[in-house]
Amino acid sequence: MDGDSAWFHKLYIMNKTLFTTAALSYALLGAAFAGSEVDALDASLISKEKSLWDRFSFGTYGEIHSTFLKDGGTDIDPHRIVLFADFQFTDNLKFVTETELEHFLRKSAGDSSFTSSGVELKFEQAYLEYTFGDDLLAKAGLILAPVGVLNEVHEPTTFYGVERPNVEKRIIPTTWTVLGVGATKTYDVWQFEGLLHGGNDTKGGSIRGGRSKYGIDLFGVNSDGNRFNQNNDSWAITGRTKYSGIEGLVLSGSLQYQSDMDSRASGTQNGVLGEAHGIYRNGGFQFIAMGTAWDIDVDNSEGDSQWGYYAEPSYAWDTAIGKVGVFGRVSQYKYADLAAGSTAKEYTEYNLGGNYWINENLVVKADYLNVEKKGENGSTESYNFGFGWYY
Amino acid sequence: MGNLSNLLFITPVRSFFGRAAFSILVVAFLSSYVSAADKVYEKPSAFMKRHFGAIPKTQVIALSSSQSKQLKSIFGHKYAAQKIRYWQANGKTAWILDEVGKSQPITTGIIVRGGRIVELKVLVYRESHGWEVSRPFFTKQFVGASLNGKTLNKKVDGIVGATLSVNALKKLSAAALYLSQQTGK
Repeated sequence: MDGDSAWFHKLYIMNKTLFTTAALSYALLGAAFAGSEVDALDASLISKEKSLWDRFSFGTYGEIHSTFLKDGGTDIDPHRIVLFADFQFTDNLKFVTETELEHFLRKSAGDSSFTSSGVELKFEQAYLEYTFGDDLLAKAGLILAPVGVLNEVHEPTTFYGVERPNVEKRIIPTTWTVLGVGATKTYDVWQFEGLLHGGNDTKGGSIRGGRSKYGIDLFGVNSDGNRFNQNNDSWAITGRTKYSGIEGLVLSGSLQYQSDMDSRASGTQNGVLGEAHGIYRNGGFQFIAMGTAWDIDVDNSEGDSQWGYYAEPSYAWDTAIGKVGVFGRVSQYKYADLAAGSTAKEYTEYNLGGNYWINENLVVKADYLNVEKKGENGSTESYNFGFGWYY
Repeated sequence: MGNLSNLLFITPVRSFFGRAAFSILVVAFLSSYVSAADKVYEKPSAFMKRHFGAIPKTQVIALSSSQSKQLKSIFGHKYAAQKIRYWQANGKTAWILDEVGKSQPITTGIIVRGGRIVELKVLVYRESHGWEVSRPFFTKQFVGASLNGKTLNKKVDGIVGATLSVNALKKLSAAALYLSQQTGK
């Protein structure tokens, strides 16, 4: 090429390069900006601005029960009225509370009138929850112990039977609030939870009576049942594993170690609690199987081995006027005080009944309960009715 | 703060660089609102690309008072937005709707074709409990459902411990089917 065409050639090559570069940059930038328009669309659809009021969330549940004993006697009791109040401090930090008023007016079997002497106002939950992201959560405060089927989820619309299963009441013992700190980690189908918390000091009595009480003395009518009664002397640690990898099935196992379950007795009486349950659902059919046992280091007491199990099949179906479910439950449990010389009580129970859900928030329940005590003839029969709400 | 969502509807700046700057600022600002506690299973854009290839043009339905009322009877409360966006292509309509489970909204993507649900996908889940509803074994139950009054024509099994989230998804699917009827698609 001669000088001129070489120059033009150079200019052409340069411009072509420039042009190509410019075109490419434009295309890339265009793609990037189209990308960020897509990001803007995503952000507009999934970002949630929060006003101060949005940070509060409230809920409530309650139950009113009546029990008619076959051998006479009627018990009418607004068993509990609960308020949930949560506050979202930041996107990761939340304060969760559950406050409960129990038995505020009750006519027990054998009494002729209603009384408020059994009233309790208590804090069932009051904890701070921090989410680290990556399915890791930490909690600190008054927390429901991660044991049993019903301890954490026990709103009336979620279980069968007017009263909670006695196995859980006596052995877990539900409802059990502990002051503690812990963490939960979720891996797709596995969930692990650990909690370090205050212990259950029975002081020689029952496990159910050994729960720390986080309540407020109301009207001075109930001196022992209503105070802040934190067992400081002993500590405990609980671990739970949940598996939901099989369709329709939730499996859960908990293990707990208590450092000292009787401060009145000399030495330390440590204890271990094991609990496992499975819940299977298929269509309207549900089956719950639960077993639990304590092994406590006490001398001369039948409280050293306390256990319980139950099996509960049920079936629910939709009707034009709401959902109806029927259930049966077989339970067996044995419990005792921890003090030396205590003997155990062992029961076998048969429960049959149904739930009628007027809608997702309201339920009417009825069940028949037959309780046989080991070593005694005959059985105690009762008919229970209940009404519950959950919003 | 309500103005922000109006702004995002259409970027207000016409120029190339202005749009770029605006989009980047918007994304940076708004991404701070999607926190660690929120689990984003799939972005709405990815959900729509999966079904449509490219994201279709945004369309809007402005609810009439009777449509508002019907949505209110489906959800049990007034639906927050009076104008609802949707995207259509290949005979399918995509709805991105929110409903509160226990205390936080669940952002859900629902594809409707011919009056039936093609897919229900939990896009963002914000609660610490009830996350099982995001799993395919649960959401696949909604496929093929159509509207029967203000609920679905097929039964959806619940999940132990996630009742409120389950109910939220049922309402969202009924709402998406209703809205599809209303937009005539």
